[in-house]
Amino acid sequence: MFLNVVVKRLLIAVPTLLALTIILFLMVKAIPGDPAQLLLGDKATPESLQQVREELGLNKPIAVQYGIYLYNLVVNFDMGNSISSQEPVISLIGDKFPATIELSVMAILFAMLVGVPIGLIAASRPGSFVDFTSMSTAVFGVSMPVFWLGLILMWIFGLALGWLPISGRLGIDYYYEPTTGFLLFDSLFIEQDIEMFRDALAHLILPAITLGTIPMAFLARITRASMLEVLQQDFIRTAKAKGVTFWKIYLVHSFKNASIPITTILGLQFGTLLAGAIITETIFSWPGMGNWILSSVNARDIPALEGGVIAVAAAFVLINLVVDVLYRLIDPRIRLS
Amino acid sequence: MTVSLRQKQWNSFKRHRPGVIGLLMIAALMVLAVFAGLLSPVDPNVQNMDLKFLPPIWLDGGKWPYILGTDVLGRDLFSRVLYGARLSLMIGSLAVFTGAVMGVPLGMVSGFFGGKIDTLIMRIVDIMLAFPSLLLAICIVAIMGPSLENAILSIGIVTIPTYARVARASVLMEKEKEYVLADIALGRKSLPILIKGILPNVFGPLLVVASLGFGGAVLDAAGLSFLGLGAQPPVPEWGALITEGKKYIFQAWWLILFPGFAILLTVVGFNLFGDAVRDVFDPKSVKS
Repeated sequence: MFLNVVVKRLLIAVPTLLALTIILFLMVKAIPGDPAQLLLGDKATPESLQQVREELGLNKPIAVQYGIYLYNLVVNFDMGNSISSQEPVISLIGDKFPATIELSVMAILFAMLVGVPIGLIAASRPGSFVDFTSMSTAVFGVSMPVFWLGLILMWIFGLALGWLPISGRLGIDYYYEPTTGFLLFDSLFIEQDIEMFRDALAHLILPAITLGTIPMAFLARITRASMLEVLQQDFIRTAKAKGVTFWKIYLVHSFKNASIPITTILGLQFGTLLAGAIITETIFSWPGMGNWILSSVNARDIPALEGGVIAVAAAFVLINLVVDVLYRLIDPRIRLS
Repeated sequence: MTVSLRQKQWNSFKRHRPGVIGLLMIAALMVLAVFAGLLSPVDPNVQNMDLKFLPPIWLDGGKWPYILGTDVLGRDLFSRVLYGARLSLMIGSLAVFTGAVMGVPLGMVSGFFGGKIDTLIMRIVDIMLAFPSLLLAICIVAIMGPSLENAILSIGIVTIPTYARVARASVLMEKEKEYVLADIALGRKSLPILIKGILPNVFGPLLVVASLGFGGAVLDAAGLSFLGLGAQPPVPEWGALITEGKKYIFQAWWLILFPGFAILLTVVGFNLFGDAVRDVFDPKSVKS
């Protein structure tokens, strides 16, 4: 039964992804500007333009163009070459994605390690001063303009105090040849250079806090709300009547039950983070997907834009799928429904 | 004496302290926006190179009437932030309007008629939701070209699914009620039933989405402007002000700090208000 649900979900994800590529393909076609002209620049002659259009298949009907794009993507795993760097889009995605994933994972860790305790503390004394302070923090957190927070953090901890690096993934003293592309992993296990690992970690702190603040605030609110709801239920009263201590009821009995909505929000936020990374990456010159997509927009680098957006959207769909499945695993009540 | 439902809702809103604070913040913003012309000491676009990078008035070198200091061209930051309040209210209203005006009819039709049309609309909505919204907004702006108008439109478009879903869910609940069944039995046409009968009754949930969406729209518009895809200089939109100030983070931190506070407080105001409206319309969540 459970497997059925997983398979069904996967089957729904495929047409969604397909529809995404169609919409995106049409949207990108609507971007003003001639790709052939962009590729050749000012020195283009009418003949050479014609030739490039021929090569890129730009003269064919749009449905055929889409068919070719999809065929290349699915069968050859090829998304064309980037106009600005001339490199295959697929390998560029391979270069950039690990940086974004690393940043997003650190951001979600920050959100969890700060947000969940805030929610737990707030819910332990509802209506108290602690509750008020925590929830005010959370309201400000969800309303935070991320780019502003990033700049302020950069200004205080990077420029004024000089404690943390503010740009890129690694100091210029280090030479880095990516193996997995996950810098923390590579520096620790491949290069086995603890100083390099520390430097990479230091570079992650400010961007991760910037990116993680909104999810942190969401998690704090959802943790508080779910805890308060669980605490009202009968089994908690039974536990109290049996003489179980407050903290055991609170952290074991209640938190276990409250963790279901928390997990859901966590997963949903993780998907949103990938896209939210665009702004954070721009501030901290982080060499990830967001920065790349934005510069592709500005350079009208259509193959790169297409590839980048499809990759992020696909990751978003997949993460939502995983969350959905996980959440059925955690909660037996909805596993079979 | 009987008290109407609206009256009851208003009474319970008045007891919701964060909500009242939010409403007061919104009211203050509106006053600032409406009277920006009267309140701003200097024309926000007047340049004066002799006065460039003046710090806020309480710091050494600050000069009246440049309360929050000046920028690289000697323009008064306080006046620019005030005029930015106008823009932000406009951005929020237009984006919410765009999303609602397209999403609500789609959702209502979907919920009311059901069947194939429902499946079709909801599939499209699902696909739109499969896109991270900021990414979708960026793609739309990339197509239409960067400008404040296009940023507002794209933010409105990416919120269509939310309005459609909420409207659909509310219509599904309403259409089983007796007043709708009676209308159908009397042979009234679908459109009047939807507009005159059902729409006023699904207003509550939509208001919740709209007021929370307002803050989100202001935030997203500022984000797009920050990325260079929204308002273009010299428009004093808050996100664009921060982008301009970013270059001078060493000399003039106030250029970043104050516009950001303006965004933060505006969004906090709308979020507090939206949360309160949700609690009022959905009594179940009041307890939690």
